[in-house]
Amino acid sequence: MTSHDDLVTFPFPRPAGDPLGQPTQFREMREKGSAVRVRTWDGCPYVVTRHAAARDVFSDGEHFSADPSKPGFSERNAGFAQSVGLDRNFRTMDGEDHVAQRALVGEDFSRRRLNLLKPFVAEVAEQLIETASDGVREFDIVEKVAFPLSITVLCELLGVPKADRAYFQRRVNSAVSPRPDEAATAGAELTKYMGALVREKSDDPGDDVLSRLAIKVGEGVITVDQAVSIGRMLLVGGFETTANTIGLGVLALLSHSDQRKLFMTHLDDEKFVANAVNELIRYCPVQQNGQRRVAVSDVQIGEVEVRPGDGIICANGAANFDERVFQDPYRLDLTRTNASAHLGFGFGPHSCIAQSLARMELTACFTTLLRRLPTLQLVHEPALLPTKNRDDLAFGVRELLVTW
Amino acid sequence: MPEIKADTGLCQGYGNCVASAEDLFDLTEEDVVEVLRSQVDEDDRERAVAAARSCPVSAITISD
Repeated sequence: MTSHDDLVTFPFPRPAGDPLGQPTQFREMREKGSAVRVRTWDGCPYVVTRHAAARDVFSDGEHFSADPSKPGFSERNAGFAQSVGLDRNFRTMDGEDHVAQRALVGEDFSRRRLNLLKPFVAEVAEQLIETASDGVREFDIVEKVAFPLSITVLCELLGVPKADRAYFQRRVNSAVSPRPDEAATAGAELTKYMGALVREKSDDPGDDVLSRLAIKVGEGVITVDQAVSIGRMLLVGGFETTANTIGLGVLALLSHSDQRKLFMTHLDDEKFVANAVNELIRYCPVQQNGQRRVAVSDVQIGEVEVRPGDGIICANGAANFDERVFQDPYRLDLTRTNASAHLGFGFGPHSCIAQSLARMELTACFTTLLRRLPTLQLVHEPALLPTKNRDDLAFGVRELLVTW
Repeated sequence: MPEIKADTGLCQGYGNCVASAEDLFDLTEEDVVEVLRSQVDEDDRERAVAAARSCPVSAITISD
């Protein structure tokens, strides 16, 4: 039995004072092999950092299960394991069950349907930025724009009443805390709240995802608990991720003046902006702990033989810097021709169901900010910005003061 | 020459394929996949395959 004493600990330390930086160990792992064992809080899974290998794992639902109850599955942190990790919904299902349940909400996440939210998203972004910049010389993008935009859009999509949004934001924040007690308590509160909301919508459905799920409950296709599980998963999946990408994306634009200038001269060029948004998603280190799978049969990841019960960390954030796919990967290049090949939304069957919506929010935010406040600049040096921790679900800056 | 086929019955309109290769795929007004070029060059094979693999419901196949 190989000794695991010499294994590197994951998650890897982040480069100090560099909120846009990548852990150096990602590069080392990419050199070392297609899958390399690391030590985590709960075991010794493999970490996959190469782009091709990551795509292989993501695409192969037959050999790699997304179900945390399977032996050897490695969860992100203790808090996650106590809350979101216990969910059983299409995020954590495989095969036909996965496809069938995802299809229940599929209609609400088609590109056409999500496009109907474009005016709403644009309006919210506009309003938030106007209010944030009104009568002050500086404001915090994270507090005034990124998080409110993310939660407001999610609540609109799901059908959460406006009055409850602040409550929601606090609960969702806590539900993804790495601290098990905090996560479990908030998770339970969210569950209770959403159960009540689903039941309410059974009697009086609106034009939103929770209402659609409530109707399926009424038809006996799923239970209230399953509907709540799906709703909670969508909420958690789209909240911190989007909000932190806004924060880091603005930071990236404001700290790369050549790219910022380019972006500003192309604000009305939809194709350019779309590509720029993809490049910003690729570049910003929001996805830091990878997506989790477990091998359920003998399978190769590149040159590495993996056995059933081997946990897999598909480090999509690391794969976004694979020089085999992205030339000069540490360079932010808004014109990068294969920017859309990033794995920020995962890949294949479990890829982010609302990715068009996320891209829409980022687009609205970045273009509106630079259109309204063309002289926007950072107040603090990036090195001084307070950031999230390396074992948080999504990485980002906790505060981003800007002036103009 | 590689050939792209898409199963419109399986398609859920997510648009991963379009996001991956907008010169090869589009979505119709009914939110169903439309293959813009069914015959592609060898040079396009890698992108076409990536787009096919990116589909959450495996609606796209690339054959030789």
